[in-house]
Amino acid sequence: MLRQFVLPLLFFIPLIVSAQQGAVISGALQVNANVFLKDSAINAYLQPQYQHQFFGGESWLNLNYSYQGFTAGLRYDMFLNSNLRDPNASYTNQGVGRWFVKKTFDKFTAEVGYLYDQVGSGIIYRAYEQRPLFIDNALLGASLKYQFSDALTVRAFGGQQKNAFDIYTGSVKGVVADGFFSFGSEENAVNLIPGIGFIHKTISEETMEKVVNGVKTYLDVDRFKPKYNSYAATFYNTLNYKGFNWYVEAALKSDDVFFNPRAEKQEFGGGTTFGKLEFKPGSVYYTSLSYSAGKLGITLEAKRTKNFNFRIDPNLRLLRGLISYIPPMNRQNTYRLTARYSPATQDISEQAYQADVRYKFSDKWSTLVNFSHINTLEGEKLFREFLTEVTYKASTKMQVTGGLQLLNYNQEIYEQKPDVPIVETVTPYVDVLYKFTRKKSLRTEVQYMKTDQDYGSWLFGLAEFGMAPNWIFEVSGMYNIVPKKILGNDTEPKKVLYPSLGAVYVKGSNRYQLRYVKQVEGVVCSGGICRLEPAFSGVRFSLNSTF
Amino acid sequence: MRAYNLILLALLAVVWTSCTEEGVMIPPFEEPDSKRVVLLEDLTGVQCPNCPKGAAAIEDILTRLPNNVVAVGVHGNFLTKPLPESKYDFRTQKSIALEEFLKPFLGKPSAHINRKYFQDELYIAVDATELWQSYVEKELKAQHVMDLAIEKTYNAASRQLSVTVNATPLIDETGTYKISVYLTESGIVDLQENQGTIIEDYEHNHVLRDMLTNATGDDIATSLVKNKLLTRTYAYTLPATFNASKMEIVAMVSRNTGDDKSVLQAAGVKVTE
Repeated sequence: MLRQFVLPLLFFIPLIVSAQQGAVISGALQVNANVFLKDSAINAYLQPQYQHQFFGGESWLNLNYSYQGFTAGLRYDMFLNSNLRDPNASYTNQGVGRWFVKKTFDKFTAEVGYLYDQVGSGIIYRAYEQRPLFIDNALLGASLKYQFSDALTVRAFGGQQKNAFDIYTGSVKGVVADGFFSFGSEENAVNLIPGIGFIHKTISEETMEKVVNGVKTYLDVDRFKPKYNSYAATFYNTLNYKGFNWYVEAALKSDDVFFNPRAEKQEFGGGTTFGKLEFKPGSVYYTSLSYSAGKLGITLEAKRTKNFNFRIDPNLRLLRGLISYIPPMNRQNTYRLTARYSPATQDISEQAYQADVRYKFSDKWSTLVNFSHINTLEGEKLFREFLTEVTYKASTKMQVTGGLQLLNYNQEIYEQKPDVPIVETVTPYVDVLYKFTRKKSLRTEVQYMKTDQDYGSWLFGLAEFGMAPNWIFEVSGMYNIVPKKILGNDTEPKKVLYPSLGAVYVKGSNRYQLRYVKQVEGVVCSGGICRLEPAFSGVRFSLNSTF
Repeated sequence: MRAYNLILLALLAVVWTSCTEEGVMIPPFEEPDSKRVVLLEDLTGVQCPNCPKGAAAIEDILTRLPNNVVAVGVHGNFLTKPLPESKYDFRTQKSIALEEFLKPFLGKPSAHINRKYFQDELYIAVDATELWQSYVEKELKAQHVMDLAIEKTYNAASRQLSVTVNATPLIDETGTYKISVYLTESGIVDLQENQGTIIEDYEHNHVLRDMLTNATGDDIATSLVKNKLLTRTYAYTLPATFNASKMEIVAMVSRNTGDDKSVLQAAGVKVTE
């Protein structure tokens, strides 16, 4: 109680009372409201929101106050029958989701409260918020930063990881040094932006007790002696030279307890099962090389991950208690069907490559080609994507984009669905934008996904009419044109249409959206972090406002 | 660069310190001295790829704590649809209703251990199978508040089963209380998903076949009075499809006050022994 309400108020009251000219108060409000309309034909009926709650939603209100080098912030979070925490359950709670106070004194910056931060690309440490996935692993603690020179900044931080309105019992400490060095003349400058980071995790007595009690049940062959402390270190560097940009990061983790769902465990009664706690070191090597010059842009990426499930408590699963964030290695698609099968980053065993090439032939024609290749370290196929896209600007009024995606997706691994084959899809798509006037435009999309696996083939159509700067009206439909899956109480696969109808109103910095939605079950991803979400049927309202 | 050197030195110092930490010794298992019997309700299903791991964890627990644990495998609605070649459909109205009652759970397998909430868990249902035994042991260390005994008679010819459950509170307590009586069957050989493969001759144990009470239990008392016996008797005819020699009667008494549905005591006896 003290931590939740009183401390933030103690920080805010003097700031507000002493508010003077020059103080800035800013904020943001986000509201999601869902009306759940049961539809057993698409499997949208099992969750409590469909059974008896009918309404669910969540909101976040941020308030930030800045005055004479001080910055303070407070966020109030509310969840009412929300399906964000667990898409198959209901969650109700409210309170202060975040507060912080920050002060900069010349080259020294101090911050306390719930802190967001990242070391390098986030592999050894990333504290961030991702609302659609209910990720908010801010660190409740303190951070100190000192800028030694233009070339070197060092920061240190420590605290406990947030767990909704509570905190996890373990602790995390870190030290990071970021540099910037430039050589050569301004026109031919070679820039080096190196960094080193170090994270120290200590699990709590309660967590250790659970680990010991778990390992106690293992046979000798699977037992190990766990330690309270584990460490992760990373070295990263960005090298810039003209159009070249090369990022490289090597992250290592000391022996650490983690759960490996694919490890074989000997059972007391004989036989083996899969999944056990292990105590092993881990590593991630990641590099990204890009070149951009005039009409050509090339990006090549590679990543190798081994045993890098780094959590505040090894007994936690899915998206809970994550300390590390491993960057994804596939294209972040935006079209409905090309984004349908997106791979979650695998932190135990993954070897991945990606190439992306863009070329602008002329003012009218441009193209891109993207290729992703992801396997386990043992060579098991996880994901393949080949996508090519061409954009033609016919005139100032009309633009046409067309593309083709070929994709393989290991649904058994990514969605934990037993005994399902690799999903193989072929998806052509076209997007036409036509501007009637400077303010009125119509955008249409047609996509077709051909596949014999999972739900079968899909046809998707969308028409979006824009009346700038205030209105956007949208109607779309996703049609299971060659169905392969039996839904609800059906006895055979049926063709099902998932329609959506919506309007967006934008006024100043406020955005209101109202949509009637029927949405098929699917994986929702954000930056390689994914989860399987059930089908949705109902009305969605959202409000985004900044002030 | 001087600052860099200092940082590197500091990091090396910490890494060196880390090497000196001794690992925690894992103590050998010791059977606790407890009169409690813990109920483990396993939320499982034939299409659940990780459920054999849960079942193995239960067998481990039962082997180590044969007198202190009873298990019930609940095949409700989730991942329970029989496979195309399955011989049995374990879903029943009672098992589906019980699974609904035991929601929410993050995935399968998950287990309710005495229907108690354990710190840091997302739900009462615990999805990490390696934690089940430690939570069972934790429950065994809790106060023993009720004796529970099952008396049964079974007529093999008529397949008539009579079950009497005698509950003796060892404390005084006010609240509302429920009794649940389960019939489980073990040794059923049928298909089971297992991490992407199908085990054709998998032995399903502790499968909930039916309940002699409502799925959520029957009311038994509005208060507990020390040493005041609470008794319920049930009659049931075993269907011909049930193998009586592999069946067990499991009974338990639980609290039913607000969100507290915790189990006070459980018991189990074989139908034919």
